[in-house]
Amino acid sequence: MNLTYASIKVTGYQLDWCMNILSCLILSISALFTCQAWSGIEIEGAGSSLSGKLMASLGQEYQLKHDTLISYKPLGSGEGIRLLTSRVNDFALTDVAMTRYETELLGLVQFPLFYSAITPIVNLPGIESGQLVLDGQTLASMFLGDIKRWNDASIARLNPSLNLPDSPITVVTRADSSGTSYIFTGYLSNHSKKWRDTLGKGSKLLWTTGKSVEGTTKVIQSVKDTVGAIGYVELGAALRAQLATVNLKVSDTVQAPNLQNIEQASQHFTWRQGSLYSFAPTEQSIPMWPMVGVTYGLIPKTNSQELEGRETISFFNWIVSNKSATFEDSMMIQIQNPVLVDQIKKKLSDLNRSKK
Amino acid sequence: MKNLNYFFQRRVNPIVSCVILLLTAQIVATTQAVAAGSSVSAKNNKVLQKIIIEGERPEISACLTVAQQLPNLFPIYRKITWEPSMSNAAVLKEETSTEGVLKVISFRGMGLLHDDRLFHADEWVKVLIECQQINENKPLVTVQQSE
Repeated sequence: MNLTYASIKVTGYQLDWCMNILSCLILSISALFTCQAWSGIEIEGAGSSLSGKLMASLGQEYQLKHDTLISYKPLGSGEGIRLLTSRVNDFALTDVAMTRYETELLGLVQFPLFYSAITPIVNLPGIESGQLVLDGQTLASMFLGDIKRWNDASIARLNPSLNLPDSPITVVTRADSSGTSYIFTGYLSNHSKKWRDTLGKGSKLLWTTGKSVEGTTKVIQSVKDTVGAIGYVELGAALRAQLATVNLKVSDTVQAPNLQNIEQASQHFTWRQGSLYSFAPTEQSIPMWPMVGVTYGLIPKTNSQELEGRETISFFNWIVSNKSATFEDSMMIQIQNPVLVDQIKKKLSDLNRSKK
Repeated sequence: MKNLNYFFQRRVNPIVSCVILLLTAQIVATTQAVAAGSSVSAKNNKVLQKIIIEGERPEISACLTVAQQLPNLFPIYRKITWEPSMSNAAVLKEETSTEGVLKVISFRGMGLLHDDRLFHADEWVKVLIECQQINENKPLVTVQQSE
């Protein structure tokens, strides 16, 4: 009896011992797998929602080559700046350029990365991409609520060959602080005195008409769900959603949103020396897409996480130093002007030096 | 002390003394001005951070930062205030010329007038606040009484 008890006791002890070994083994194997999956560091950013798809692709490319995970949340330019100011993130992307006064006060470095286009999108049965033509003044009147129906004389005059419906126009706008809105309202301000004096250019406005929703995805969904709706999104997002884009009258010509026209516009931007604060072309005599903006990277001058700080600089250095097809795939134009690229690299290398 | 005695005993040229005194005063004044300047910019830094973290439109945040100091700049008002929703109604115009970039931001608020009389009711007036930011520098703010 005693012997049996002793033997059982020994067996129990051995079982415990085996279980411990097994647990250690499982833990070690899972740790090994985790390490094999990703052993690098992670840098986090947020901001410009129009850069979401581009950043996902660039992040993947970079991770393959450098073993650094780029985590980017397309929450809108305003939210990106907010999170970076709180030092929650390592970087932000913004389509609303900050002035030198602001970046200096906040201890940030700002540099341009690429150009993108904003395009109006419509949901009008029977009307395909590029068929509807509008101009700045008419578009502003629609978004002010002054033009209420699709068969209004001002729209009909620009589209004599289209049979426009006698139905109400539903305007869809962004409710959050958005760079897309900033570029769009900048265009409207250039073409309508009423817009310029009452609403102006802004990432977030007190819209006077229509339906306001948060984020590009919701704008796309609202326009898709509403017959007679008009909204505005980044060109790549409009094409991916297969929504009808609108052509714009520029001087006496009609222009379509495409890469060639974005590139034309990009050649007429003016840049301020040093800060690289840019100003979109307002002249209308050249064939170009008139709703083009610049997306900027923002990095803090000091990052409490030294490794992440350095890796953020390396990531942006890699973006500006390598010509990537990802930009064109996303319907965006990478900054390639050698003078600008040199200035951006200098900003990044100065930042790197200050971290040493 | 010995040096000081030497200084007086040597009867240094009064013109030289004046110049030394003036230079010293200048250095003290400059140091104070720099210190005051840096404390203002440190304060602006905190105000701007707070405004942005609260979720303000980034393009008007610098203007709101400077506008918070309005009563110091315009002593006829004891207090200048605006509704939080007013910032979405702020109108931004941006233009370029050969001289550079000009950003003009305007929005409406309320100003409490200064009144030194002993017995009086507070008088709030509607004001139009306008910021002009030239070439990315610190915005210059003006206040005008409006209807």
